[in-house]
Amino acid sequence: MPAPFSRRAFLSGVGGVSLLAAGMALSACSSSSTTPSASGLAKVNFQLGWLANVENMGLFMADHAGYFRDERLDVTLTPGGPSVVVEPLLVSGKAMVGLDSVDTIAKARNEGAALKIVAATMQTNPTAIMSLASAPVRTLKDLVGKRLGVQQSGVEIVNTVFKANGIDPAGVTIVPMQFDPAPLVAGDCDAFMSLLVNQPIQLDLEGVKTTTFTLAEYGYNVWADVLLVSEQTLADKDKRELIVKIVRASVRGWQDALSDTDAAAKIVVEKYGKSLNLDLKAQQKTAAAFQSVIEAGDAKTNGLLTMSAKGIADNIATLNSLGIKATAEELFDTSVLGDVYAGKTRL
Amino acid sequence: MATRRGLIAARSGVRSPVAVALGVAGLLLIWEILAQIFADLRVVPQPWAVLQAMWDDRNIYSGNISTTLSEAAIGFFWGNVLAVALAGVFVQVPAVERLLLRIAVASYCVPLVAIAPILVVVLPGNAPKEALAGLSVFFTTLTAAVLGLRSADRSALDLIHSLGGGSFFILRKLRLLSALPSLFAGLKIAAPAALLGAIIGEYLGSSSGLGVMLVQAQSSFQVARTWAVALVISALAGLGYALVAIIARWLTPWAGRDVSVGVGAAASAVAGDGRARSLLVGTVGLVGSILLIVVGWYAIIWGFSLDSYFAKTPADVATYLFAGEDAAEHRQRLLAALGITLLDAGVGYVVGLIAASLAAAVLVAFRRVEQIVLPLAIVLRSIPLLALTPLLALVFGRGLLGVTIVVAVITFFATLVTVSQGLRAAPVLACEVITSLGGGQLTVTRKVRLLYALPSLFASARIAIPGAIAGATLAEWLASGKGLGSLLVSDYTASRFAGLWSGSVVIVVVSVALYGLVTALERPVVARYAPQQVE
Repeated sequence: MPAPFSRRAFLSGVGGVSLLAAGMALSACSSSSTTPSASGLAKVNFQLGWLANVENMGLFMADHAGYFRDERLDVTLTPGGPSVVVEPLLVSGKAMVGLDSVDTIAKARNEGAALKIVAATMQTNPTAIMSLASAPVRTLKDLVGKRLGVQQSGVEIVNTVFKANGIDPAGVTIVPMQFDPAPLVAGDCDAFMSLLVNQPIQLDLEGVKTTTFTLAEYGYNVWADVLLVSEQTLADKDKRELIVKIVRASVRGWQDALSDTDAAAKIVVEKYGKSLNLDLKAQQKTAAAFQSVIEAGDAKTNGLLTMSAKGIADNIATLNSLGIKATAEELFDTSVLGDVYAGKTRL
Repeated sequence: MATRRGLIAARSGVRSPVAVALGVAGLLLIWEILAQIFADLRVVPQPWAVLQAMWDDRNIYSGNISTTLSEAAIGFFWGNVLAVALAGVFVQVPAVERLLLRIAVASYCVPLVAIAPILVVVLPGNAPKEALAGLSVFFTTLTAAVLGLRSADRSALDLIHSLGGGSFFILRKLRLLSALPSLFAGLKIAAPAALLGAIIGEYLGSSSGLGVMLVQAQSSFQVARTWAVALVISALAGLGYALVAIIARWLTPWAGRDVSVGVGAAASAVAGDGRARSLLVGTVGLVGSILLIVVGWYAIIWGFSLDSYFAKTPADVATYLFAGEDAAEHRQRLLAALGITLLDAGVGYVVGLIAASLAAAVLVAFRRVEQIVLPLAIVLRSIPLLALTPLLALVFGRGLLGVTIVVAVITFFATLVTVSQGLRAAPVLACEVITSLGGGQLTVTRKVRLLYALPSLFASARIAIPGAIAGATLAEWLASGKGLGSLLVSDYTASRFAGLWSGSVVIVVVSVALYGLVTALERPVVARYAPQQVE
């Protein structure tokens, strides 16, 4: 923490217009995310999508076990949050690697963000429709005539899934929600769009029983928490080598984490999420659930974070059905994973 | 005189421990009853469960509090320093005000989703959070400081002029002194606002901080913990407010018991200003502001070489709205949403204004009420609406009523503080004339204080009207799913930055226009009813 009234702090207090002056001073020192540090390690900023919890345990394990350091990397795992902006940070070079979902990245690409996906953490999409066990909503059709709580980013997705399954979206009342499942419990909606691996477990631990089904069952097959980098980074030979190292260390971290999710959750709770005082039991249960979507499908045979040809084809098909233009060659780069695994399926 | 002051001090309510204890007990009782009523819905936790949650997290609060407080303090400091300095320049050099004021308004009402990507890309480390804290106080303090500097008693100004005092002498001796009460009212608003700004900044991603704790607790449905964190945030906001209030009382002991008689001092000074000339000056100012904004906008994008995918230029916005093949459709979409937003903001503003003015009147007449109303207002103003909206939406629904409540919550606090400061600015002698004639406190408020509060009512409108629009967009995003707020967030989540920026420009233009309208109305009204404060 720098002194409160340093020059940096001064510049940061200024409103929009004066940011210009700040920029002239700062652009010189903040332009690169890969400056080598004094210790000879390459500094890398890895932008996460959410808070420091077990969702990112594989990366934390890679840090904890020293896998990043083995690759001569000094990686900062920057937590995200509800308002995180991943793509602009990647495009501007302030982060070298980031996590987001395939459809978000594809949309950003179509708006001119030169980004590529190099690895995929969650092989099964965890997006789920959750309802109270006391008033269960078991299928997509059951939603007709009900109120569905959805985050703004999910509205287009859920509407397209409805159409693809022959349901008129107008028959379902969309209620705007955020990440807080309280409105479902309080009866402000009948169903809530959540992550299968996360909120049902949290609610269960708080004594609320839920019923869930996933949107993947209804054709929404895009990977989640994929690793994205900018095309510029991939085009630069040295930087691409860094990406290979980052992905390799991440795979090793995930292998460790999934081989003992309880231990990984403990490390996340005690070390990386220390300032949040996370509930160990909840994190361990969640970690076990994450295993079921990460060590799934082709990842079981090809290795973790894999992007198989069939998986890519499924992703593209889902994107196209959502009305998002995308091609496999443009959106995905499988060569990094190829270099990482070098013919093996486990590191 | 001394006895009179003593009387006033006694009436203003020295807090007795018994009264405080009774108040706390009453609140706890109401809370417990609400918790019982809402037990099935799980929205209001038991008080003891919240205490338990606080105790369980006792080891992590200090670290998270210091993170958030340091972001808020840095933003508070620089936002206010710049605002006060700029206010001084505005008062001394009105031409600068004509050029920069609109930009200051824009800084207050530009939607967060539009500038957040720019802030995180342009600024290093924690600076985006500090910048958001600074942005949340800059405009309100600027408004309060300008009002204060201009509130110097007209007759005193004339006196110093006639004795040969120049404008800088006046600034130092008279304006700064008379600016203090209003400035401190602004700083009281700024204290919770800076905290809120820092917390919203933490939603962008942070390894520690109260905002992160809040998100973690909410997303895990830990209701008691959520309330515990929210209460800690409110307590900090309240402490910040109290700290400013104590410093204010210490530095400006005369505030609220001004014994000067300023009524009917001088007529409006604008009379000599020709209509045509003022129209010309206004137009030049408007064109100048627009030019400055456009140049600054391009300069930021080019200076930082921001990627065109998320940083749109004025030309991109113009194309989106007027030149592209879908321009007509885009305009229609934005205008339809704007109509909803204006209705939401308008209704919310009026309700917030009425509620806050009534509360301010009661507050000034019966000081004891302040101890109940103010903490509540601070709580509402310091908890992020992202955390509060599920509860508000549940109680008030997601229609116009729910949206109105959210907007009113945003505008209420600033209006309350500004207007009650204005009500208190009434000279004690004038008030006591009424009291000695047998009039009660309410009569005093009606006959004297309201007149003196008029300028502050307008000052509050300048803050609250752009605030109402910002609040309406927030409520539309969080609760109703209609209007510009919802449209902007949906553009944002789909990376449609051209739509997002165009919508933001529409919001800023409308807010600045409404701000101009308030200012245009202000002069004739204040000149008519409170001429001592017109220059």
